[in-house]
Amino acid sequence: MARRSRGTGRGTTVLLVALVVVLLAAVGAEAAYLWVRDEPGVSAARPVTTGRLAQQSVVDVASRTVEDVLSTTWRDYDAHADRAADAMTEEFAGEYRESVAGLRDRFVADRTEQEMKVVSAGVVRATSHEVQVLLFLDQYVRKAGADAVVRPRRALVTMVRGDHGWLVSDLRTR
Amino acid sequence: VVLALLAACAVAGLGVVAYGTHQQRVDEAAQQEQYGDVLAAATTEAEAVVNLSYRDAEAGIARVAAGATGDLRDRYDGSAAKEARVLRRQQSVMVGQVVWAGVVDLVGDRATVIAATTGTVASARTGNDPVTRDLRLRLDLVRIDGSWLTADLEVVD
Repeated sequence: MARRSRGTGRGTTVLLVALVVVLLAAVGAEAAYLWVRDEPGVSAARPVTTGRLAQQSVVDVASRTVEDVLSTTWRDYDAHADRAADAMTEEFAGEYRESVAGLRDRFVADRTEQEMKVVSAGVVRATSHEVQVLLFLDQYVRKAGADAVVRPRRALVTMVRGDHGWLVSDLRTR
Repeated sequence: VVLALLAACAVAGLGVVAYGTHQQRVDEAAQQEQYGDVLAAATTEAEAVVNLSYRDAEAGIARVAAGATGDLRDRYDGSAAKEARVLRRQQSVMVGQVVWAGVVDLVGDRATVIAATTGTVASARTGNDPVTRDLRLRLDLVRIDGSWLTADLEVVD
């Protein structure tokens, strides 16, 4: 009798241990589903993998940044280039400095003032760490002795998440 | 027994959270896939608009109408013959493609897309020489029976 009771007790213990193991495994699986997750990659079918609010905040930053980067005057051309480079990744800032250095003499000689205004912006691709934005811009150019000219421009800007905010990692205009 | 009960409670609690999260992720994935559909539809329509030739005017206009709805479709359907005559009279050949397209807004069954196109236009006015024509387009789309169609299209001057 006592032997049978000891056997039943051991069986119950084994059953309980097995149940606990199964339950803990289920807890682990649920936790993994909730907290260990790779962001899906972007593709033509799914060019966006972030929420609308997150995208919109980057679009706003991209619009302001590109307006600042591309709006400059002959009066503070070099200082502006330094400030603009702060909003870029190190690699792209190098390309940008080369580009503006090549345009500097002509820009200053013509006493050029350039202002860019974003008229529309749309998300091309977006992940939590990189967002591409299409911008429609109006370019206002004034040169000494000439009337102001307005030209329609299009720009594709790539923003990447840096340690202290979003940075321009590429900017192409057409 | 206590440990088993605690584990069971944890499974149940996390299960509820995981189910809610799963539903949210499914909804997010469906919403994000709409961006791909919207951009594809807008790109097709924009390219139809910038690829019209007097040589196959009716077919070109039909391609534009096929991706349109509402007033825009009526405009192309209703005046297809007139548009074709204008293309032929001008000997217009428009060739182009979408360079970049981006979603401005996407809420429910409505979306707004901007598209930058590049291309050329040749006509009697240009001496039949192709002249560069880069456009900034804004398209308003609506989803009808699962398909995104363009309800309005304008050039952003």
